[in-house]
Amino acid sequence: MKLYHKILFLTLVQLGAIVSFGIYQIQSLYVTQKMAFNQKNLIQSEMIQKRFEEKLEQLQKTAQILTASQEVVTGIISNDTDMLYNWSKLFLSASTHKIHFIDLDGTIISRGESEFRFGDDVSKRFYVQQALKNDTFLGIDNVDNKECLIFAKRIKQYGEKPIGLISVALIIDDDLLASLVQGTTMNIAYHSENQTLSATNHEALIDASSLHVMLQAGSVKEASFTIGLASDEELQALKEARTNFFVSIGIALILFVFALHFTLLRHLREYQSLSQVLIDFYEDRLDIKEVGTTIKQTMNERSTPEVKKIAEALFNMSRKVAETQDALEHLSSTDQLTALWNRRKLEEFLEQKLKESERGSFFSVLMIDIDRFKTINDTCGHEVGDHVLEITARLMRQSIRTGDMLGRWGGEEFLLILPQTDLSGACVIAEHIRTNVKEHRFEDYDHTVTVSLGVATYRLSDTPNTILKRADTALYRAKNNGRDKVEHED
Amino acid sequence: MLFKWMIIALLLCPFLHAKEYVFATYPSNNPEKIMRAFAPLMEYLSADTNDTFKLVVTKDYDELFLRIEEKSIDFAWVNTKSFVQLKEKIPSLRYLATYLEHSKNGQITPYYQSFIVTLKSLHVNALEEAKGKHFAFTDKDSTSGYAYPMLMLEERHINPYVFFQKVFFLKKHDKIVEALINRSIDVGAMSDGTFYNAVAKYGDQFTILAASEPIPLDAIVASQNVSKEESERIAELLERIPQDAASNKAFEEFLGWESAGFVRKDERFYEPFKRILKARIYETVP
Repeated sequence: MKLYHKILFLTLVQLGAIVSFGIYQIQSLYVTQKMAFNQKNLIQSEMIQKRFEEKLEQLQKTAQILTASQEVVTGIISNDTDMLYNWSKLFLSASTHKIHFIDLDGTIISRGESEFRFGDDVSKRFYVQQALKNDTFLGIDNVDNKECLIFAKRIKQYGEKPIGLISVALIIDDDLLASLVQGTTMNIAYHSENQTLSATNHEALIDASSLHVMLQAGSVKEASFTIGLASDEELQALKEARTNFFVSIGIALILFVFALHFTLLRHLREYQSLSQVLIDFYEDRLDIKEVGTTIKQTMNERSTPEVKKIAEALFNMSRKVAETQDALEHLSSTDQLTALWNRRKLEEFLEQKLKESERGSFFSVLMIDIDRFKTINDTCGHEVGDHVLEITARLMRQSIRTGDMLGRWGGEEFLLILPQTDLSGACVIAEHIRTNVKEHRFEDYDHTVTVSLGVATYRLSDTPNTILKRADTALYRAKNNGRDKVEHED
Repeated sequence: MLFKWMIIALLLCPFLHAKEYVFATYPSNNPEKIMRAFAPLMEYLSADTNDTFKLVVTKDYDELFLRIEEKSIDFAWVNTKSFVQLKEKIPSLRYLATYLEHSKNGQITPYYQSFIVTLKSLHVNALEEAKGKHFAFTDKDSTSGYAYPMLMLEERHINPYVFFQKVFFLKKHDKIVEALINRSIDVGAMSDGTFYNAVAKYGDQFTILAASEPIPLDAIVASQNVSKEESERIAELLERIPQDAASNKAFEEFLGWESAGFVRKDERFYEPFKRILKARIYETVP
């Protein structure tokens, strides 16, 4: 598995674990809050239920108190409207809107809420018929064109003889509904065939359920009370918070993955480019100096500190290797005594010049030999011989141009390659060398040293051997002609 | 020195004998209105006697009767029927004066009338045409709101509990008017004063189906607590109340009574009413 995938995988695994834990915590919190929310709503629903039952109890209680009064009984028997009015008005309240005394014919004797309105016939009313038939009625019916919660009860003289009815009613209106849900976050709606009421402006009830009330079926069809949440803002806010958290986590996760991806790519690309340099090096696409140059470029680019340090180290290492390589190459290419190119190097130069000459270039070579060097060695010793070699090499070096390649070919024999030099030019240089050597006075050797030189210039289809052969032939001729001479090929 | 003490004693004498009298009346109207209407009369009597007159409005006639019998009140304003009944029951009850009113013909008279009234819009022009209607009396103890209307019905051989579909008792005369206007009843009995006030308030939308003979107005009586001399003195004070007295104005302002003060008649002034008591009274549905 690649490093990129490893890092990405491990990071995502850890991050996934953290995010999962966070999601679990938030979900747990949400579930707890929702349970608390539902519990609160349940308590509120029960409270509203209780309030509703209290309203019904209040109606029954009022009717019970009034019918227990002997004066009320007398008032009903004698149709004493005024007395019944005076009694009933005392019991009117926010929970009791209407108190009617009705005789057995269904004629209203007195209205507690309206002193001067009585005498109308309500015998056809469902609640009156039910109360006359069943003794009591508790339900919803129309009273004076308003839908009401009604408790109607038959009034009996001495507890036996029916003499009339009492109906205690509470108008079903917005105020009643509002009083039921006061101080809660719930809403209650009343629906019947004639009207739909709601405690608050919110039309829709959330999580609606019917109020559990034991009401007798009245003449008002489809009458029902429904309770539910007035608004689910609280729950929605909770859900929104949860969603926001999840979305935030999701976005953060995606951004993090992208950031990680690009960061890894950037870092790894730098490492990869460094490693590619090394690969190119060992696969010979780059030499050590090019490695150094490439790495230096990398160092100068905007890299991370870590990569820069590695690049710097690699650069220093490549430089050292290059220096060592140069030193080794120098050692392997030069003659220890004369500090001139050795024969191997001269052969490389010669090969190179021949190749260049194929593209139109030209050159000449000088084969140089110190005259009677063996005698110097034999008579004066090797140290003097070495001294003569060393000084002669220096004199020759001083006699040539920059770019000319001078080396020790072997023993007391030297080879000089003269790029872009024809035969005549080569002869001039050869003569210059011969003169300089001859005129020099050695410190450790009292005699004059001379050199013989054979000159050859490049010919088409030359090989190293052919051109060297011609130069060597010319040298041989110079030796045969008395030494201290410059001879050239024909 | 002795003379000085005699002078001081004479000056303090009225205060030493100052009494607190309880003056009671029946609830002919809203008790608060009655209290305010009677306040100037109580002040007048208190000022002229140096005694204190405290007004009590009883819950109903029964309480008034009971308290006169119990002697827990000293003076009482009673209606004609109550006076006749009380006098038969308590012979020692002292008559003091009779209430006076300005009649609609401009005379000051100790009489008034009872009317049986309906709404013009119902197109009922005679009592006999009101069969099956809703009817209302004021109170069974009321003279003009029950006794005389019942007499008028009896004279026409009408048992109200059979003739009318429903019979209600509304206690107050004003309430008869309001019930008529609200169409809660079709026919009702009321005093002539109430009728004229209703016409003034609602306009000419009522029809009088029957009118009673003149009825003696209410009487002021004294219980046995009050001496004969004191009763005489109070009766004189009542009779001396001028036309423009604050008490008369208050009666008109708060109760709509066109009061003209009091006149001292004889107890025999109320004798004709005994005939009413002997008349057949339909107490309830047979």
